[in-house]
Amino acid sequence: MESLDPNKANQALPRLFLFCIGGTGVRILKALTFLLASGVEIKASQVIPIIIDPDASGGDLNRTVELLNKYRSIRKSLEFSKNQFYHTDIQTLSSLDTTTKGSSMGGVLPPSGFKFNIDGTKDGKFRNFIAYDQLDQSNKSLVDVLFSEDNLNAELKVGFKGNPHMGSVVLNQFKESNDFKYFAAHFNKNDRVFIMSSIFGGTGAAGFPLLVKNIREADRNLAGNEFLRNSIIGALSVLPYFGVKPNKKSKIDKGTFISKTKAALQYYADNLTGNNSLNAMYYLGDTPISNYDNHEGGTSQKNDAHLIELLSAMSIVDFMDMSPKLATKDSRAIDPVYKEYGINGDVKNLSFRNLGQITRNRVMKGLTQYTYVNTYIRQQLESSLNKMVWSKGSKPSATKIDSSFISGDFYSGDLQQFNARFMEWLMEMSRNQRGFTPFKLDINKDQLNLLVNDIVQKKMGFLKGNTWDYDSFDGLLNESEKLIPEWSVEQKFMAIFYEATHQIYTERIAPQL
Amino acid sequence: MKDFFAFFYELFGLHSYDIAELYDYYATIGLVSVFVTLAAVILYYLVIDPVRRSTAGFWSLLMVVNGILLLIFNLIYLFRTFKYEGLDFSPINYLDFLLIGLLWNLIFFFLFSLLFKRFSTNCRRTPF
Repeated sequence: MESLDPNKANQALPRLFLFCIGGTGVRILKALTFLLASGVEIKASQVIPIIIDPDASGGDLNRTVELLNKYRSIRKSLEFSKNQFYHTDIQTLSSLDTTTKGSSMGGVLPPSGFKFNIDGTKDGKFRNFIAYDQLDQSNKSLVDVLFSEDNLNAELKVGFKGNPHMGSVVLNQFKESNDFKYFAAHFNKNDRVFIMSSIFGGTGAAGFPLLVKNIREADRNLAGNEFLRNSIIGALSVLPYFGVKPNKKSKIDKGTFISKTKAALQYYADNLTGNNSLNAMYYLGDTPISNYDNHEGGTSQKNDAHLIELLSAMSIVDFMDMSPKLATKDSRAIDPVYKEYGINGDVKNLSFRNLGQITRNRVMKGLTQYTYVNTYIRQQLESSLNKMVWSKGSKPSATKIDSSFISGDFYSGDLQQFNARFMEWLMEMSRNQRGFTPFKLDINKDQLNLLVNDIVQKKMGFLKGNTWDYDSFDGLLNESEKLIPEWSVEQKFMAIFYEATHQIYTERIAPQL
Repeated sequence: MKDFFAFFYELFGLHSYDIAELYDYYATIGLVSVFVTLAAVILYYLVIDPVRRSTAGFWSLLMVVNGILLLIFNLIYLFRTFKYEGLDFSPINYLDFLLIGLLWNLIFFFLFSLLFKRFSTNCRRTPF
């Protein structure tokens, strides 16, 4: 088994400030969180997600924030010499303040959690935000030309309901906000920014160009402005990939998605890519096949996970892989990169075989390992607990992984819930259109070789077929346990499962690719 | 060698002068018992190294089965040898010896288990 010591290498890597704008940005962040939990490598010492979404009660948003908190809570108990699950350090913006920087910021309070606060969006109507009633008649007339009555009466706490022209007014408060100043003050020379948003909604389409503008033209009085203006910025713009069902009560109409996209692309061509504001720009989209329930926002806005969100998350990994190529001078990117993504075959339901080799190399191992862990936990853990050597410990002094661990905070409070969401995410992607079904999740206990779809696993013995069961899995766990008998129970649990699934992947699956 | 095994078989009060004809077979029976038990333990801990059957229950069953098989071997061996030499063989007369043999087989199995379990992956904590 290979020995890993990533902690030292990580210190030299840049930090990644990841701006997730709107509902799509949040769902991509969720996909990235699962990828990082499964051990997919991203070349960043820390990932700092910053969520910009006025729809504070959005179902997707709150589920993702909860997931990030669980990730951090799980990671706190782990170490990474023999385990790569949860390896990447995800931090909140406020957690970066370990020095005197914060105190020198003269009253700028650290932001709370992962959400970026923009003044005036928590409550109230758009007309109050722009102080419509205080305007003189000529200005009111101008506003009436630009915004409909519905726009003016829209509640901002549920976002911009697919209206980027509203979003561009509200989100222009970025640079004045406490959180932006805080972000600027903590941005260092080698740090990177990645912005992800959709182009066919309201929040993302409006927020993305504004954010880039505020970074590239950072106020010279702002702490860290020089680093910001010359930072390496990557961005992802998600083109339409789903539709919404017709709903008379909703202002969101899928018929406008394409026209909005065209208009926004034109704007981006002139003001973002056209003037080299970005070092790397990714475009992703798909023929919208699924029609989601049409909710304007709020707690009911919970869309099934989609392959596009996973591919979008991979673009972040790709961006951080492009280390030496990207550079910025005088606030302009030198030799910017533009990327799209294609799949092998126009099929309705994809497996790993439909992804390109580079993507497969990046994500297949981690996702497969973590899915095996989850399958084991779901089907076998209860039977093997307190019976197998890996649970009892290979010697009397070894740490026991027993029922008290299973009922403890780490497992039942965090890991079990995180894992349930991971499996739910896989199932959602599988049932969506276009679907992504890399795993067969309802396999029999004695046919673990069938877990990865479209892969015939390697035979492991002269007389054995390629089927294998939990005896083999437990055997690998026992073998891993011998190397780390006295680690803390949380570290030991993760490390033995990482090592065992690493063996499964490298011996049975990797040779067949 | 006979004296060596006589030490074991007579440790519990049985004396060869009680059943003098047995003394000549101590070595064969003793060596078979030791090597078969050793082979069973090595097979269990190192060759098969079972995952699901690494329980104390299965280990106990294996120990008893090993002991009974050796007891049957001893019985057949003594019967055939005595018959070959024209001696009368009635198992009831040698019950003490057979039971002591069984006890030693169980003890050998236990001691070999303690010795070899550390080299096992799946049965390192079997029987405890």
